[in-house]
Amino acid sequence: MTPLLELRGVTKLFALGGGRMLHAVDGVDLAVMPGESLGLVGESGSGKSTLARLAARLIDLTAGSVRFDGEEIGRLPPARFSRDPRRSAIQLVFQSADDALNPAFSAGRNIATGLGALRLTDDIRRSVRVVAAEVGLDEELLDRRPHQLSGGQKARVGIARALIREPRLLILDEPTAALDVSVQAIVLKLIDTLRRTRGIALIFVSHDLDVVKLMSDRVAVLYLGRVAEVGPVGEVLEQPCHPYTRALVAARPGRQRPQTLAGEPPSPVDTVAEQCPFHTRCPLAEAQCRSSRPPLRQLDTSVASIRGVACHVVAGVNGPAACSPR
Amino acid sequence: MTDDATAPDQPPLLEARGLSIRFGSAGRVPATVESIDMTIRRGEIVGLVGESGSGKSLFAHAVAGILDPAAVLEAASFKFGGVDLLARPGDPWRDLRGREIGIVFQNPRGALNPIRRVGQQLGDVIRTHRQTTAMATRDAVLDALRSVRIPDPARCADAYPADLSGGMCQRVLLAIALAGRPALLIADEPTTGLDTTTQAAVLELMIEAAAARRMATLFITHDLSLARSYCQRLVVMHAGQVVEAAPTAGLFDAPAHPYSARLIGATPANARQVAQLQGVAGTLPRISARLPRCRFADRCDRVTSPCRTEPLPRVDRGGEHLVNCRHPL
Amino acid sequence: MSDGASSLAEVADDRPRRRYRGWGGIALLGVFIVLVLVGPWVVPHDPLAPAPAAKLSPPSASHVFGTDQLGRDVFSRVITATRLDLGIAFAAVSISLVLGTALGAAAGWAGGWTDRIVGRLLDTIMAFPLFVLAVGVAAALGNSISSVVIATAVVNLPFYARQSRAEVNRRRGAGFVEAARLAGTGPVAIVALHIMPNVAPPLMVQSSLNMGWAILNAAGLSFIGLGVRPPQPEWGIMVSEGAANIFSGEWWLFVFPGAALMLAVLAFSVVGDTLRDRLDPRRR
Repeated sequence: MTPLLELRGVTKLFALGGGRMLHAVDGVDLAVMPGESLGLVGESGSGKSTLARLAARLIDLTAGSVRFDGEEIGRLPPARFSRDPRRSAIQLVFQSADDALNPAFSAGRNIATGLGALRLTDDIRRSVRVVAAEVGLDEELLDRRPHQLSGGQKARVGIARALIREPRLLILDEPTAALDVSVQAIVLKLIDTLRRTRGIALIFVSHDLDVVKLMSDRVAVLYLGRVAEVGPVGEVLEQPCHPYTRALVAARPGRQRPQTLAGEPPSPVDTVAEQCPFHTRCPLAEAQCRSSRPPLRQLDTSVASIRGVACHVVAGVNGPAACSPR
Repeated sequence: MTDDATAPDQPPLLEARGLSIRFGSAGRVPATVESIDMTIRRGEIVGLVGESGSGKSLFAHAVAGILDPAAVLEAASFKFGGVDLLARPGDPWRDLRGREIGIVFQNPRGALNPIRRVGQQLGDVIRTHRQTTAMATRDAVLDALRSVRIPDPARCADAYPADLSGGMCQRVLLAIALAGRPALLIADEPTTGLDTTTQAAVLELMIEAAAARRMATLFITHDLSLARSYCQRLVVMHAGQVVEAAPTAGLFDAPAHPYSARLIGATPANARQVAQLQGVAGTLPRISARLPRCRFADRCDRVTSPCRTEPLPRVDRGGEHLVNCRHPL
Repeated sequence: MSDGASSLAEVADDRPRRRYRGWGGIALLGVFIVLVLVGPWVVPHDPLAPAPAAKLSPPSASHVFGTDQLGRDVFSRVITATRLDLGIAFAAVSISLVLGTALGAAAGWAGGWTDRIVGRLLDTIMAFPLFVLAVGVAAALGNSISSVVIATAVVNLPFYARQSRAEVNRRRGAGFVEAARLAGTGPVAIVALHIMPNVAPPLMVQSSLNMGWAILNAAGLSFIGLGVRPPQPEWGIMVSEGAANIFSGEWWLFVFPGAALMLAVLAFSVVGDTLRDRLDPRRR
């Protein structure tokens, strides 16, 4: 089966002036199958937000390829892609921060901006009403401005705006991070319901492992712009292989006392290519970790699904190894 | 993790009973924070949990003595370390603020002066509390930074807040809060916006500092899982009222208030599937004259009409587990 | 995730006083607008007609503001001048607003070289005091009303351009802008239709306050002989001509036009302040 979205070697560098480069995303390989939900997990500097925008073709790639339904779309500049018929197939939901919705527009008009039309025709109004009902927004709320809406309502508007184009892939960048936990619960359920009824694929970006566990089928863990580990979400989070994934899982609050990870996250500026970015904090670091970049290697698992780990020590060069449970 | 100071028969460090905070006159507008009871013993870590609009930050400001001048505080009893804060003439917090009571806020970089070096800011606080000489201050600053596990104290002291990461800034703020050797540390959402791993490191530090100094901690957060990991007792607030107070294990094993149960059910860590997540119906009630007596009434599926009109009963479940509800679970 | 309780902490502002002031300003402005529209037709005397016999007479029943050195009715002249003064100011502010906003928006959106070039242009303009610039423009284009309008518009441009640039730049990375890009909306449409409605309110406030300043400038420039020339009635000229009579005691020659100037500027300032208060994000 062809992946709906396939990223190969996707890299994004930002020039900082003075010859310094920020390696936001550094050679990422990922695939999303139709109808699948892929979680993207990482901390600050992991590049997950940039990766989401690259996948949505909002920004240019520095290198690599993005294939949608088997066709290359990575080379098209975003301005040209915005007129491409495939544009509507990939949509993005932003974090419900203050600027995710236009403060000067009503909720209904904000949803309509998803269609990119300049005037609000009756047809457009009808489409807005339909999608608003689908996300559980009362019709009377459509005339209100964002500052008159609650956090949960604003989140729904953002989702409606992305859905109005009937996408096949929805990328959500921390859609519930700014919400109270009780509101988050409702919004997450809504996203899940929409996904199942419409059969769309999701890329769910979050820093919260517990949320990703609920919302995704598979998860990719990012560290400093590179994929550290990828695989079915239950396996990766319950039996993490990569030392960073283990540290992330251990740092989760919950019944047990979170365990700390030593060191500070390294800077994504001028990262050394031939090196494992995690080696400065890794309890398993060896000499080879400082001198060569570990590729994403496939592991043998009992289930025939793709489980990859980028680590010299855990997924050694001597062939794929099964990752034993912690 | 108890020692003799946290045993129930010891006098509490902080005691508040029937504490209300109001903006405006008593007749016209209901209290924003109403009738809070809270006890914190020496060395204890108490979590104050609530969503936005719960009034938890406002209460924290009241305890720290930094309440908005427009706010009116009333209480049946409000004592810190034996001092009656209601009866004390002048400024009741004059030697407590920043000294006996330390505070750490969220947004650590925002809490630091951006145009002064970090070492200078820390030095100011140390000098205020300990009257040290310039030389001794510098040493004390480096010591303080070391004690919060900052890797290169000298470099950090000479840096500006913009040069430091969020986690480092929060450690500096912790050092500042601890400089006065407080008996109570108030941490108001100290790790919001920080990465999970950084959060774990900062909180671990706070807990260790508390244990080492027999310092009590009031940990304010909206994240139930976080409260569960670090606190011995939890107080749950909704719309300015305390709904439940219990030892942590007791709250999670047997929540007595419908809101607490919903909050626990809404936490992703406690659900196996999305469908199991529970939300809370309705929205936060607006502060207006027509507030029901139980402010959760319009969102509750167990509500009956006395809930709206009669004062909230307090039910004791034993083992310090208290719930303010007419129909506890 | 803020504590909603803080919204109660806003001290009740002195709403009644503000409201009276606001309505007062609007009423005053309304008077001026009416005068602009119907002034020339309701004046009791011909503002240009000299009547040497009645020259320099103090305010009386037939000449409410007295007469000037040529016997012309000061009241009629003050009323008639409203149209010219407000007209010049309105034209100058409109040009400034439109051009400045567009320039600033382009700089704020595009960044890079566009921003730098516009920045230098604005710096250059800001280096010139109005009067120097006005004399320069008058020298180049001839001493006429349009020169005054152009000079005032140019001098005013940087304020709109800077505000517009800052506001557009601030919103360039906003979520709703990215969403518009996702929807295929082009950059011009994004700036004009999505960003401008957010930027417009502060600019409106600015332009209202600006009107007062522009009126003063028009008057000031004609005071020194640029733009409006006698016998056209214009408040600045009237004050200038009346100033010569300060010591001979014919106070009505400059007091009334001066008062008109002052009230017009006041009206616009008050309306501008009111607009700003009303558009305060906290109240929206």
